[in-house]
Amino acid sequence: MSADFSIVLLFFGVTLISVTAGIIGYFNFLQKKSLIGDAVAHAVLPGIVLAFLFSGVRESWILLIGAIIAGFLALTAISFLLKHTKLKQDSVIALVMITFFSLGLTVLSYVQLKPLGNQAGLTDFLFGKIAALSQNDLIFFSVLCSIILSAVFVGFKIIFGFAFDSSFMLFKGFSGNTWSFFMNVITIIVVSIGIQAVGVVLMSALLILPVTTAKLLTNNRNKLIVWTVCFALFGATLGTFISLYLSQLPTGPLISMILCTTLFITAVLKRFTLLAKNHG
Amino acid sequence: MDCIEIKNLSVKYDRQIALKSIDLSIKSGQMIAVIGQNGSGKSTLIKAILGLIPAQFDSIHFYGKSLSEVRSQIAYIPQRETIDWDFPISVYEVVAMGLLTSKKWWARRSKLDKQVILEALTKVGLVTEMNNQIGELSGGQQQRVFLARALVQHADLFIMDEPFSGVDMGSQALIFEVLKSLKSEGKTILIVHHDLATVAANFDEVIVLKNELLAHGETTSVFNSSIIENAFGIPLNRSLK
Repeated sequence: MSADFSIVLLFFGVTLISVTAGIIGYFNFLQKKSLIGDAVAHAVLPGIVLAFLFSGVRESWILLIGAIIAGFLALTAISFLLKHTKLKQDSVIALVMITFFSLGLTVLSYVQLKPLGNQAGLTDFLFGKIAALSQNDLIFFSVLCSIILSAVFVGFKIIFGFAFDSSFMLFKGFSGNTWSFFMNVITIIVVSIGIQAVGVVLMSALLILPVTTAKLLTNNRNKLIVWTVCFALFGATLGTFISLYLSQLPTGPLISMILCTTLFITAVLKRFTLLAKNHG
Repeated sequence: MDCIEIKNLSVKYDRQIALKSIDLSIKSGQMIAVIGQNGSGKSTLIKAILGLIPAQFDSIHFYGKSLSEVRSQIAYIPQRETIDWDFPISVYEVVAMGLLTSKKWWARRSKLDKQVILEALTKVGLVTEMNNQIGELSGGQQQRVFLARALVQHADLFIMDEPFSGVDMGSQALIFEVLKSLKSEGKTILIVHHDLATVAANFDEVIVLKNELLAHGETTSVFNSSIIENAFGIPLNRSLK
């Protein structure tokens, strides 16, 4: 296959992953659960490293299974602690995130000491390195993202309804458990894929920043989605471009910095247009 | 037939008793106010009978059937404090939520659906505001949005949690007008109500709560000094101020 094709595939994969993450972030944001994605991202690290340790190969789907199991354990731990202790959501999320992430880092350091682990490039998961993905990985992830986007599209009214007024939806006979299970599954899968692009540490940037920036511009449901997708696309494409052609830097920090800068500029521009309107 | 029949309903929060062995039977075609102090279990009562919070009871029946059989016949309006008014949703979309059903949830909106939504918006006087984000409306208009969402459900029983809180006089009159026309069609309206001044003129029956059922009956016989003083700790004439 030609080099051109692999570059096209790379950009296609990155943008699809980022857009999916942006959309999931949109729903997490609407549910006021923006930090859930961050917790999951940190929590999947031990799953990935342990999956590598036991299988001995760096196969994406094996690592993905490890990630999904760890993500589930973390979310279960969060809801267990919320139910059975008096701790508030932010403390519980922090607690679970730290527990899983420190375990992940410990196991990662241990694996790095072994000759096999050193070559596997597991540290790429910390800051993200999109170029480390194989073409098969990219195709596999793109298919997964497409499935998730379609599922979200079909269930949109239900997800949106629950985020807005959950007691009404429950009263209407929709199952709250099924719905939160569905949201958890897609969040975990999207995060597990997204960390390949931006890494564990900055995954929440991909989830939170596009929708937060979009919220500055509009409070209309559909426009908010469109802007979210635009910002996710912009950050991902530019970040990947700089990473590939202008520097050897990892993708995660680049994409995050671009998204942060966009948020900042949008906020300033909004401020100025508001001022101009009030004076004019 | 009784519209709602409750036998021995109790609700506990942690170790506190919110409602203690309530027995109630409510007849159809009436407007009923649930009154009582803050924390007397008014909202708890309606959330419990709608299955939104855990509760113990011998039986709860609507039109002689269980809740799951008659869901589509009941419309529920939650307390305004539970709504995030900054949420990116338009007036039209809130009203459209009323048409969601757990069966056929994937179905797209039909032309008839759109017509039903427009009719409801006309009844509550919000057609020109239908594309506005809900936070752009006044308190009274916001309550009318939720009334419209209840209207599109073509329910027989309307259960509302404080629909008049934060509502201006004009909206209050309009809401009462819509409710009375519903009543004239034989619908039943159960309202958690805090404004004692409007009880006598608008409601057929009153349910008085103080974590247990203090009184239930026609407004003329129940809404009197001794019962109100017992419920609120102050005499009726002072409660009305």
